[in-house]
Amino acid sequence: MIDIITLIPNSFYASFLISIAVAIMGSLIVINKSSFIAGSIAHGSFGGIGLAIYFSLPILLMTSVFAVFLALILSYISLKIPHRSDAVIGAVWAVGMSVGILFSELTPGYNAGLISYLFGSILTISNEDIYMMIGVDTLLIIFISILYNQILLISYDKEFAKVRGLNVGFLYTLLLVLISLTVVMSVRAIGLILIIAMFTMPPFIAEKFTKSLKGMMILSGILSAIFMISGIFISFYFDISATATIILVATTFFFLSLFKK
Amino acid sequence: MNLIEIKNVSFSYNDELVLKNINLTIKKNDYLAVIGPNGGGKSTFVKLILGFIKPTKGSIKLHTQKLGYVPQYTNFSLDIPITVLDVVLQGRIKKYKFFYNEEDKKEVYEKLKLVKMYEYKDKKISELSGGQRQRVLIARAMVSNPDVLILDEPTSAIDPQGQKEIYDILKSLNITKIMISHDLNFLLEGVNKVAWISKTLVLHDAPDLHLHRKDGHFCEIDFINEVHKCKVSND
Repeated sequence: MIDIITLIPNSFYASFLISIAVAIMGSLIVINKSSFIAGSIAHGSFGGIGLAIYFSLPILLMTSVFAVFLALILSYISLKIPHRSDAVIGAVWAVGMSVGILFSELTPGYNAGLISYLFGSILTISNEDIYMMIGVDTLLIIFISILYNQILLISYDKEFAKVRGLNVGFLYTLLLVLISLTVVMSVRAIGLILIIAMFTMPPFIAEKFTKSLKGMMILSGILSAIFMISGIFISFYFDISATATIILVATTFFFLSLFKK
Repeated sequence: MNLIEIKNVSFSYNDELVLKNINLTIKKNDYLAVIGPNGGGKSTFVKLILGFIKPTKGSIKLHTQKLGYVPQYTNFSLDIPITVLDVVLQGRIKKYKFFYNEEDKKEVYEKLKLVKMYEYKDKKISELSGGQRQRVLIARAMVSNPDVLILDEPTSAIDPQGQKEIYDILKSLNITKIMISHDLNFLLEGVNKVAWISKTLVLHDAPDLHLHRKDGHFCEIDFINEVHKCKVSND
């Protein structure tokens, strides 16, 4: 056990740092029923990766800008035409992926790193990725510490939030922007395709066992850390994909939790 | 004292006229019942007062900013883990108020006692019955000590006993109330004005309607005929 921690310490740091994001943003994604939006941002941000590779720009920076741009579009559409937002969410999902595929194809040479952005590679996390995770986690903790009550209200009852004078549009947009940054910080570890599973399954399980959003956040963070660490160990000893194993561990508990009334 | 003045208000949505030339004054301590057919514009009327939408024509003048709102409990997801206490505390939030203090909790406890839900304060909202949830939402609207309480079908999908409890609570609140309902029984529960909305608004002082009960219920047909007669004579 000590060997693996010594060999790939960043994967363990990443597991804990991503678990903090899962606790906060994953719980908010689940209670806001925003899994489809979060999935759209995650997949759509592949466009940012393609553009970054083509124009030789810093990948994390370019992907962050692109993902935030998608979050702003989705926020606008969700607030202005909520009854048709699902079609736009689906379009953003596909357009982002298409831009990513197109620009990565136009880039000369073979981009082996692209696969790690799609499926994640938690065992090869760099220090730069860790710094970004620390930065985004810090933002998330500040955000939730100050706005917990207001975010809980807009998640529960947007109309009443308006009556109380809250700027629902601003808070919702902020929520989506933070989802987009969370997606980018996790993309190298979990991968665009699997990220949404990691951000929804632990909170979904936690929701059934808790009485408050605070409790849901704490429990989903703990569950996420357990799933990630155990997934890494299992994958290490069986020499299989770490990210896929993490998701399958989470999925096992996810289905077991369905039996809880 | 006038609290709300609605003058010549019309509202259109996608070129379709939803409300036409509405005029109404709501005074302090009025208990206004808003009734009418589905799609007649009752919810639009309430949304206009709450400021969620703007009138296409006319003006709405609010002489108070302290509005309390009770939506239908059926609008909420019961999956969100939240306790009764946390729901009612939401009534104390303001734009630049981020944290609750002891005074907020004291006010919440007082209002929970008022709606007879104090002993449920630590329960999850999903563990309550429909009637109990609606009482929690009334407490949430009341903790800000509003001048006007606006209720959107608070008794829909609630059993008769639960409805009676809500009517009794509302009757005991010494405050201006505007309530949408499909249940005409509540017209005998202290209502002093009735607004019949079906694109246009016809206002009645409730005692003038000569409402009567038949087998414990209002005769809805008689009531609507009465309103219709008034509407014809107004025209």
